[in-house]
Amino acid sequence: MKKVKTNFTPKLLVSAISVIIAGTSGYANALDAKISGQLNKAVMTMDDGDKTTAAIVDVVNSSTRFRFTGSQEIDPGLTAGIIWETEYRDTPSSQVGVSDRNHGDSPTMHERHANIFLKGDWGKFSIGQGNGAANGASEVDLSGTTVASYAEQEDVGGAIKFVDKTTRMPTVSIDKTKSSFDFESRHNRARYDSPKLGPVTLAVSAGTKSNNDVFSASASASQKIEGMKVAGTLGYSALAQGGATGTRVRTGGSFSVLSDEGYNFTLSYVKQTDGAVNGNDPSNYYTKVGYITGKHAISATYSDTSDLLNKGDSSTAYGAQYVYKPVGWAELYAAVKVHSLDSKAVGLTNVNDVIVGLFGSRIKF
Amino acid sequence: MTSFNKTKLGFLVFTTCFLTACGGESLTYESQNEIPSGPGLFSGAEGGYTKSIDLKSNDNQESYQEFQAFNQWKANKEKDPEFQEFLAWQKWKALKKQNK
Repeated sequence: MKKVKTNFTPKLLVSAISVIIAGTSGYANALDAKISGQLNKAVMTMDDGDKTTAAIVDVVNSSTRFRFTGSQEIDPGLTAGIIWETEYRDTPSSQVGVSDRNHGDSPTMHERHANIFLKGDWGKFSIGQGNGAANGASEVDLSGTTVASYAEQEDVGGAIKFVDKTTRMPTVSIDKTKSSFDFESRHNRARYDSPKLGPVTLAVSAGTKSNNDVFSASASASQKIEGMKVAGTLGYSALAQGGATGTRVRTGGSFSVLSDEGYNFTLSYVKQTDGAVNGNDPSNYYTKVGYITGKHAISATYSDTSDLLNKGDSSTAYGAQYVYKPVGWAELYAAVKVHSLDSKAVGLTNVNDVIVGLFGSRIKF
Repeated sequence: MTSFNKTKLGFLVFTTCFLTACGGESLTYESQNEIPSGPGLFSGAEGGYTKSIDLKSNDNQESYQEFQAFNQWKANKEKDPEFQEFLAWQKWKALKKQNK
């Protein structure tokens, strides 16, 4: 008995799709598809006041990832395209701790973006996994040092636990007490971005995250004005968690200015309103001052998250960072920061500060 | 300062920032936490590997004809005795597996 063989190959499929697109639209002449990516690795030192150790980490500020993008004008004034981006985080800097230095060392691919879009003079419509309309609204930053430190402080060292000074026992991890509350991040959604209205772009999205409905909106502006660059975003998100938990609402934003001389200033503030009757309603602010000269950028940061784990808590971090960018595709960086927790909660009144160092490099390929 | 006042102050700062920015020239903000634009280690100045597919090329037209021929063959194959024999063999194989 002979098996029937076909000569249908993937190459043939691509060609067929291309010709069908060309035939049906009557407009498309060429389709551009692009693959790009980066690796971001560092040595992270950790000192919880009781033990000092180090780990090799993938830096979650801008993790190791790659993406496929492509777009094509399918009709006069109408472009269709895709963004598919996935990350591959081996021992992520947000999950490694003093006693867990190999956390996540069997990594898997993790979806970041998988969405299609249509855009024209009327704006842009996207559907699929991707940024909610306000994702990134707390992270606008022109300092040139975000690869080393940015508003989401728990992305580096977030799993390190504060240690009680007396008992020398670990208590809560930094990420239980600290957050930038960045507007529900990425999720499956439908999103509309307006065209630029003066300097402002508006965006709205609706979708689901962890089986909860989420709605987001933002207003962004970025402009060059005399002697400086200015960028800022206002954001809003509502995550309907249902039941006693209620709807979690986040409002706030961030802005950053960079002078032609290289001086820069960044401010972020987000307030979360919990739907629960006795919710903590936490908030976070983050500030950064910096200076960029040639291939070098330095900055200093301070941030404070209030009321996240317990009402009255204050989880602060201050630090300094340096980034050297010798060529367009490589950055070398060093950062150090100190996390402190001021709490009146039982077991958390007398904890050591945590000192985190980061020495790494991001390479785009 | 109460949290309500903090929020109000924040919105005031942002609104001022937006209004200030109205007078300047356009700038595209790019988050530095994303894969940066610009050159790549292997990909050079382009910053990525780009595959341009010429949708009107002769190669694609030929491939499309090949694709159409394949479709025609697929549509006709059900009448082919050899293909019928192949389907019967598949059915027999499935039954044999089921009866094991």
